[in-house]
Amino acid sequence: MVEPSLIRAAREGDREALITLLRKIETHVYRTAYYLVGNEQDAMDAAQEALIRIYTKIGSYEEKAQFKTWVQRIVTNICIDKFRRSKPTVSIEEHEMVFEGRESVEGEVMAACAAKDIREAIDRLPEHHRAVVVLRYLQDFSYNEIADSLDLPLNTVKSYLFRARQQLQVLLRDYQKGGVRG
Amino acid sequence: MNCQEVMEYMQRELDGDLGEIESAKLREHIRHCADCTEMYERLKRLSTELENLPKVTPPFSLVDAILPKLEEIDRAASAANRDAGPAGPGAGAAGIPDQDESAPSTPRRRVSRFNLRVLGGVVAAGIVAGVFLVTYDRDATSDLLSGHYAAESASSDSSSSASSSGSSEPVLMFGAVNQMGEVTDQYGSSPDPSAGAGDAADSSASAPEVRPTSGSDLKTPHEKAVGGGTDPEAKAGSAPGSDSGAHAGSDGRSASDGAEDADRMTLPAVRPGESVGIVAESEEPAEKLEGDGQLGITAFPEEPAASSVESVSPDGSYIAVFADSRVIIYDRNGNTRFEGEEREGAIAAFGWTDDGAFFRYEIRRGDGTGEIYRIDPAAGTETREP
Repeated sequence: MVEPSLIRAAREGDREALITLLRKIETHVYRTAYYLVGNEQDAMDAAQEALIRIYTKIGSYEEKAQFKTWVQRIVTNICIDKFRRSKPTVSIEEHEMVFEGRESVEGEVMAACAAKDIREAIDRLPEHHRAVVVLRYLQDFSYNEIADSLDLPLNTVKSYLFRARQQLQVLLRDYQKGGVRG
Repeated sequence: MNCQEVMEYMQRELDGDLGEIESAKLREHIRHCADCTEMYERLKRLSTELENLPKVTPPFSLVDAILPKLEEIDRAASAANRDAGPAGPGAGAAGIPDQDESAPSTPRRRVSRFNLRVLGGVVAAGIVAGVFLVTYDRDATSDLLSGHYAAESASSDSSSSASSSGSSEPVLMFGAVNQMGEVTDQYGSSPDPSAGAGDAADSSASAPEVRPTSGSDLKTPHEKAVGGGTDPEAKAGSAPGSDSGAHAGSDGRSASDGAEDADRMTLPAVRPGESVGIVAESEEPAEKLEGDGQLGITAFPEEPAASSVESVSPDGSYIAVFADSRVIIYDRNGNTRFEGEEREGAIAAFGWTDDGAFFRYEIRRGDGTGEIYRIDPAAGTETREP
């Protein structure tokens, strides 16, 4: 997404290159922030903070890591850390552990979630599940890239993504059935 | 192939992660299983909808919006370079007061006093965090993993707040971005002493790592750290000088270039010759912080129940994860060391033996039956306990 030469110049102190670099990534940074924090104003704040941090920390970026995962790590960190919302999220693991409790999961999700569209459903996911979904679908990241960005083991990334999709699927099915569980 | 396994195949298929043989198996199963067919359709539809989420763009250029702030940072950095010479872009990016620009050598005394304040503040924060972590009831956690990471995150956060970019870092991390300017002016100082302070906090905060606590309480040390950063004078009073000295001294990297200042602060074991590589010293932890901070967050936002399915061994070598009805044990590199069979029922109790050699867990089913298993990750075996 960004030429390595530009990144290198930015790292070596070329301010113009660094600004150009920031312009190239600002949309990606904003998009992740938007879906993680769920509203435009916080997303603007979080994205700007991320860009400032990238500006000041570019010297600490090491080329052995992918630049885009380094960037996403910074923005997800900021979003999860600072812009954490008090909204209730569905607790995924708690229920999925208990296999035969599946029916009641749906009941609870139904009750907790009156929202009717996929964005609000995403909003309901626990932060790391949401982050995995956002990186997978808004940044087109692979499992490995997500793992690098979030500093999670590969298996955890997969299990987060799978559970998140399963949960979203349940939510959407219930919406489609008009809120009546079959 | 049962439906549960097929579920994973479906999921991986959505991500293009299935090989040909696996795809064939999946199709074969779906042909014969109405439930899975329906599930697969729903998942595919979901995945398509996710792919079609609006690709939002910012309403105006974010870079334009932050340009003034970036110039401010640059001014501070260039002042730092003039003042401290060897400080690199990373270290000097913030925390250098503008007024030093005019008189680089006169504020020696002031800077030194400031060092002590920052050091005291950060150490106090570290101690508060440490005391908190140590005294917190470890049994209540049932979550060694998050605790371990929590402690790591606490230490790396407090070290980074001082070491990576001077005193403006805590504000960047905990306060509003636009406060940065004023705080830089108010509390700025040359970056080297704060690197020392950071290390001190690092070692003091890392001590309680062996007594992990619940991740949800991590906020407290963080808040303290903010207090220490923004109001160093108040905190300095509560920080025992001997402690700060001990901690700083126990860490070889401490106060590298701050040797001169360190003398006045009577920090033991600071080697005056160690003035090389400030840039490296201050940048390395900064990079590390991104990683550790991230780990810390792993423990952050989850409900307590949600994180209770993971447990790290006492020495940190292994992480046991109970997910999808089975226990999987990873080593610290994320490699799978043991993968258990699927167990019907819920995990009722679990934990590592004190020596970290075994992970024991109890399975309970709805009808009241259950059993206890013991996993030896080194041998990769699991035995059912009588």
